[in-house]
Amino acid sequence: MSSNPNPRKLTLSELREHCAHETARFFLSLAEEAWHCYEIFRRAIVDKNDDAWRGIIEQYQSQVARWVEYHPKFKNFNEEIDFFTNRVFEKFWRRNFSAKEFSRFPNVKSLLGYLKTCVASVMTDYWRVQERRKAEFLVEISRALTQPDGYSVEKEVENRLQRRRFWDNLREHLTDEIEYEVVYASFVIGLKPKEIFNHAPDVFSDVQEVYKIKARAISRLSRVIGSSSYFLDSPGEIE
Amino acid sequence: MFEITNYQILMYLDGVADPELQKLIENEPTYQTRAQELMNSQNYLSAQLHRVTCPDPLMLGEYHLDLLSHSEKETIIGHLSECPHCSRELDEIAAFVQPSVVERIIAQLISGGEPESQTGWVPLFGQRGAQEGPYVYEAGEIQIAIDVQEDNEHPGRHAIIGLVSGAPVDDFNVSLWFEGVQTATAQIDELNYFKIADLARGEYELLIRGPKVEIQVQRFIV
Repeated sequence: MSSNPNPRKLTLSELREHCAHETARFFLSLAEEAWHCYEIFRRAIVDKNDDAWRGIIEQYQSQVARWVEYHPKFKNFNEEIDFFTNRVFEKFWRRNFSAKEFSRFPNVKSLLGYLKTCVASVMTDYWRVQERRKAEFLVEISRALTQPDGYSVEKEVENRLQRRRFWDNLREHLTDEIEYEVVYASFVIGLKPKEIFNHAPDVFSDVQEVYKIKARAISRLSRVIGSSSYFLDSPGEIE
Repeated sequence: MFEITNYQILMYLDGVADPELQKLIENEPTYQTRAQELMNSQNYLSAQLHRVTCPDPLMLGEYHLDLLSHSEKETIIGHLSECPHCSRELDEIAAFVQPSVVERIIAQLISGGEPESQTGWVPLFGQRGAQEGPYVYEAGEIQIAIDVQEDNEHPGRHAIIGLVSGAPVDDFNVSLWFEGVQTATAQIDELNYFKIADLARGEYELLIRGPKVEIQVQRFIV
């Protein structure tokens, strides 16, 4: 570090004052580095210092808001900038880097790069949630379609784990590798039988075979999840 | 009459059944019921399973930033080879994280409204209106001085004249915002001045945009 005095010896309020000035110089490319800001990041992430974390939010909130506003997906969402800005900091905080992991960020530039990545991540995550809700709406199982604040980083992590468990349970009822591939490609990736056949023409004799495997799997999986009213009561004749 | 099987109904639902089969299904209520049930099953499975194995987007971001362990990286590479959605998202994340997105600096008001003698800043604008300014803002090395004048060409209206100093601002332009709506733009001239005329009284926001940075002057009173 080139700054004097050593940022590690400064109080948080001194650091914040230096950081505010440094940030402007840094963004104007008039300063190579912003070591006081880096030290606030270090205290927030490595020392888990809440006040330092609040300092980070205060310092970079406006910048993060700007990134959110500029994100190509933002205009598709009916949410305020602040909503996403809060989720971005939440996402960064929940990542809970260890001291060793933090050492992989050598400077403020890399930390801001990560913060920007969190912006992209939150916007992408939100996009996925919207897409899933549309699918849920089709089968009238939407629980939060009309709730604008139904998304949070924590909820999404929980939801992902829950769905993952559901998938792991279902997988046990698939009879062989080919059936697994057809179900995976159909429902996890979202391919049509013709696309599945085109991806693996040497595995299936024709597209009809893919349809047969898919129909068979749907019938069995439906019986497995028979408690749900959205599944077949009588699966019908299976070839 | 032959029995129609579920795979044929799936083909019908995808619109790839032959016309004869299609006609049979559409004319028989039992098949229609089965088609509806199969569609519900498909929709349910899609809603529950769609992208269930996809990593958190932040993990894709960390992959892009080369922050993952070797085994995590291998997992992501394997997943990307079979998931077009994540491949697309990775491209989007990588494009967004590029440093081309404009950085924003909030200019700090260091003086404004007081007599010039107290601000230490000497206006270079000639005759000023008596009642306001100059406002002097600072963003790193850059100093922005803004002066409010009567607009002689538009009686009852105002003009602002600004001077940007402290760093090269050749490619910068200025935009004035009122209640979230852009109301005027101006170029910074070779002497680093800009002027915006014909303004009503009110609270404005000024954005000074360069190729890589944007300076925001918040809550600017005309």
